[in-house]
Amino acid sequence: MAKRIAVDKARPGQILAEEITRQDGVLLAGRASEITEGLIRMLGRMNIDTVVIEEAERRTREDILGEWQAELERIGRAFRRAADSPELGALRKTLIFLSEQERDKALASLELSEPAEGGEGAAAAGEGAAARAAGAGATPGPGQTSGGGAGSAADPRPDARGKPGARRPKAAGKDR
Amino acid sequence: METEPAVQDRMQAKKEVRRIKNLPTVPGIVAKISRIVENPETSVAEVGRLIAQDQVLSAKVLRMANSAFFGMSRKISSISQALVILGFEVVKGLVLTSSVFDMIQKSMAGLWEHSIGCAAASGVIAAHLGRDDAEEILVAGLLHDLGKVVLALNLPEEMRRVRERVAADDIRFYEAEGLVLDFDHAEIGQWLAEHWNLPESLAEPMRLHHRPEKAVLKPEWTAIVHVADIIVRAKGFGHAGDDIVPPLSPRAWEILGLRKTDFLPILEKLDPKLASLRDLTALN
Repeated sequence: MAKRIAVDKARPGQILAEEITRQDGVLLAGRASEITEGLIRMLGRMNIDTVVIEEAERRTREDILGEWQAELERIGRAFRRAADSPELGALRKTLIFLSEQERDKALASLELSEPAEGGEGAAAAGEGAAARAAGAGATPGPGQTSGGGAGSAADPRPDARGKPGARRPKAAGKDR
Repeated sequence: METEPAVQDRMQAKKEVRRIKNLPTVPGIVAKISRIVENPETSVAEVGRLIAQDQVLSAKVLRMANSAFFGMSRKISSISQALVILGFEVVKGLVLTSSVFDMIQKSMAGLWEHSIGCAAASGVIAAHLGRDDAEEILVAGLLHDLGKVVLALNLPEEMRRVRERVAADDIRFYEAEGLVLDFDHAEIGQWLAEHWNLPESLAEPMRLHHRPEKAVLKPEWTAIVHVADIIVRAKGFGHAGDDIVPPLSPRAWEILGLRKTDFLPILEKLDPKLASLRDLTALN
């Protein structure tokens, strides 16, 4: 996740999320490059006040669900006078669907990055996460009739098949 | 004879209209470009040199040219390159936008973000519809709410009353304008477009983005900006004076041949652009 910070809070080793260009367009440091002492000093001399760095993802499950709830409420408020329009209704449903996808991606990536005891544990955690995420978010894409999102496409990960005690995850939204 | 309240209001509104005749003058650079372009002998290189003379402006133009709006695979590193790749109309639009950037930012919190969001959405919708003038329509999206900028900067008291009415009655910005003023930001946009000699293709969406069915010159342009405005508000990107999704004009929907299933691909293309455009919120 990218975050804009003041140059005087920047530390060597941080990674730039966005490139830094001089006022006349000349590139000073590329995206994904590492911040060094020298760069920080140079930026200070050039009156560049802020940089955008990559921040380690630190959201908890509660954060993700809370943000999703807030987004649902925001959508509800935004559409509070759109009741009688089928097209706006479709737009609303699409936004809700996409917010669920975002939520599920964030939840899955959270679980996948959580430390587990050894390889088997990690694979099971990964499948469990995907299954939970798929279960939570398996609403078909709005406006889709045939070939809807909750299809049972085979999971491409090799160790997802037939592992004892592991549920086969549904690939939500895979074949939209 | 005692004047009734309605007549008093109209007299007051006429006074406001006269005050607003002090519209901001067109940015010097835009006037200069328009002048030299009148001469058919003017080369693209000359226009490029003229713009490049203003380094601060050029930097802003290049940042926009290299932003997610256009999704170019190669970096545009000079104004002349921008002119070749994006074309004159688009670059002129970016010059105009860069020149008024400070005005927009000062006018209303969130309006700049709303404008770039609407531009991005306009471009995505136009591309989705297979149009080859997507970049020019994007510029129309950038400028569509300039009327609000003038309202905020030239008539701050009236702006305050409009915003109070929005909050008090929980209505849309243009509905509050209709109740509090005798004109709205769409009309102001039209006056500004005339004052600045903007082409009708840009003036029309500024004037009619809330009533796209009335567009005659390029109805599809206005229809696209209309739908883009709706989508960007629905996404909550930026702020345009209220947080209510505007009504969708059935005529605009029809003109463009959109279907409900188009929203998903449009939003999927738009979301990453909006994410990287957050960086454009500071154009310096």
